[in-house]
Amino acid sequence: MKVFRNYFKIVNKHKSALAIYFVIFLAIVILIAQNTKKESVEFESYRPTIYFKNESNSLKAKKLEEVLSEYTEFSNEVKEETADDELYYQMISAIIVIPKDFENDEEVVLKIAPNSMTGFLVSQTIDNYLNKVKGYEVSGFEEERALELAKEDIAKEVNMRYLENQGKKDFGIRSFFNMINYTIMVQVMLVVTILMAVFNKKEIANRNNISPLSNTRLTIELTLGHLVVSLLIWLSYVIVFAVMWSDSLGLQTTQMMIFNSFIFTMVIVSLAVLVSSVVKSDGVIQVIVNVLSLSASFLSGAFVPQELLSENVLNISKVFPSYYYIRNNSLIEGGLGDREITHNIVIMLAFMFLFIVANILLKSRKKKMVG
Amino acid sequence: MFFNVFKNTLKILLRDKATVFWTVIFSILLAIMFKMAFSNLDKIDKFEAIPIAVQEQALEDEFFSKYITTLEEEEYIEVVKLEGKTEDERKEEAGKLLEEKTIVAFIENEESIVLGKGSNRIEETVIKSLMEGYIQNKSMVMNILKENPHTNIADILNFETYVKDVSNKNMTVINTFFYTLIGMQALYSYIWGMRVMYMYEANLSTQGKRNSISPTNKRISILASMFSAWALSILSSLIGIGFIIFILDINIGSKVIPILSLLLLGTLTGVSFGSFIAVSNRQSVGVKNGIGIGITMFWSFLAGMMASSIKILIERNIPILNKLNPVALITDALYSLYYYNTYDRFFGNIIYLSLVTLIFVLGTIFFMRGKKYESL
Repeated sequence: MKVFRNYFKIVNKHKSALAIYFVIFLAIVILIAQNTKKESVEFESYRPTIYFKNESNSLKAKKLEEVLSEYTEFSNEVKEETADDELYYQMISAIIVIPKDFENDEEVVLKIAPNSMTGFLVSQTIDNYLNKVKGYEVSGFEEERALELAKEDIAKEVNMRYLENQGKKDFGIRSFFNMINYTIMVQVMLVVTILMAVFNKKEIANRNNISPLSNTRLTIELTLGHLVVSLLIWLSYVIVFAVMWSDSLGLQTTQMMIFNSFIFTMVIVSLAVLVSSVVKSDGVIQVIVNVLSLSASFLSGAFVPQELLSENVLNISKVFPSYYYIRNNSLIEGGLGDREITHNIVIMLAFMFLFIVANILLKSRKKKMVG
Repeated sequence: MFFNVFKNTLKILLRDKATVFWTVIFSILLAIMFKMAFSNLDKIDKFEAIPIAVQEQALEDEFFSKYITTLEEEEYIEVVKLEGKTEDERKEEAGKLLEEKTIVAFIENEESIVLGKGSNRIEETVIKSLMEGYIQNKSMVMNILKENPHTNIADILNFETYVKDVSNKNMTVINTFFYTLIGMQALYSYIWGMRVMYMYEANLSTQGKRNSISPTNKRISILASMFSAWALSILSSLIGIGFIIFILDINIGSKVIPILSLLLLGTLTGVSFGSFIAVSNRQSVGVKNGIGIGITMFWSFLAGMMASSIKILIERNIPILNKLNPVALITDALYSLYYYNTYDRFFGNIIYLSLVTLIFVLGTIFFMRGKKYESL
């Protein structure tokens, strides 16, 4: 197993390049985990996060603050000077300031992303409450009572329930598996192509050719190396997943997503071997690895959900195995009943088969040329 | 001599196809992908009439029916008509529409709403809030009529807005991805800077050995070569930004002179970063290239190229990092030019970016100073 052992020595030399992708990915995953809230079977209203400032001392302003704090989330992390940036970057839905002379003007200053739903929810809450207060006041109610009654009114809720009690899923899980499309592609392709570039180097290839080690043996040991390293990369993400979402490991859908990612990793190994046998130059390999992994990830919906991509983009992305992998993640999230899940796995395996056959054909052609 | 060296270095640098790829074509490819992938991102939170279905019995109440019609007229909702003849048939039909996500909600009656799985929680909350408007108004009218039976209902239901909307209309978060890309491309100029240093440092390449014993003024020839690296960087950045503005139709504002000066400085930062990487250690070219790509990618990631919120999270928790990260500084400078009418923040970014560049230049000079070889 000399080749196999040597394989890991070479991988070890490139550990820093691999680690960079892992660190970036880990940071993104932690971000996803923080931002995606697990949604329960019961309906829960969306509470927009806002920056809020009350400059008025009036009773009405105080009550409005109470109401807003119930229906929205006041962000403590946002400062006045950064609030505009936070709004632009969609970290908050609105900036609300109750001005000093609110008592006379009865106007709340609002900044939202134009025509946004979350912004609408905030302005609707303000208008809804203050209109009710006005309703009571014009009917002769005293301010304090009007404020109280209006608050009671807007607390009246309609009953919201899901169809056949079907609850919602944890969206973070799907995002996680979609995102590893990119990192697995980059890392697996990087390792395989770097390794193959070493073994394909003319001097080394010639030396290996005349060594007592048979060609078949060399290929087997190299393939074994590719598989073990790729599985380790895949496993590292499964472990990260298990740590971040330990409570969902038992779910059948989660296990299916893990299996789906395993199949995808295998497809990428075969693609990487093919790339490395087509392209020999180090520089060109770097270019191909980056272009392939980025375009497959962007166009297939690894970073932005497929629902948000246009039909044209999705049609283009069907040439990548990533499309079927990511599509499966969405389908699996909705349950295991859909037959398209199996279809997509078959398509991924077909890609793998295609890459392997292409590689064998290329190799035999090259041998003939050498002969 | 200056011009000769400048011209020859240009030729040498342009011959390196991989470098041309990374500095020009890679950014353009990324820009195309951003455009394809992110073009619908702004629509997530955009208000469009939300499709719902309403049980026919519920509309028998004249006031409720009028309320629904008003909401539809004001384009808050879009009522999808159910074809079924009996109540059960319509219910089943609505269930199907919910599953297919054709509608977001099915209004059974004024107090009960059915939702489908996996739809948008924000849309559902908007529907909830709109529907609650009806029962809440009802509750208010009842309360008032109990105490003042002669109140004019039209008066109390004459709703107005208490909100003074001062929102800035220029808001598209997608732009920030392109700003970061422009920053990343400027920093990718490091490759040109690094290549030039390899041509002059005797401990790095054969060409460097030859150059260091040639009877020319080393200072002038290094300066001329650096200028040609800088000129190429400016050119590649201009191609990149031109592609983003004219082909992909991304609006980055119309303040041409500040944008151009930012590009001049940003590419200079890139070139000086490259020369610093080249002279500060004795690793192989491959490793140095890896360090350059890795660091630039990491800076771009921190500036929000993969997830725009990262930049804000850093601003909240470790703001100094945004002041030292050249890609974040370029991103922020472009953002401030686009979003704000004043130049204060832009100049702040320029000052920090100049400081970062100065550190790289001084670092390069430090590692290059007083090198003399007894033999080569």
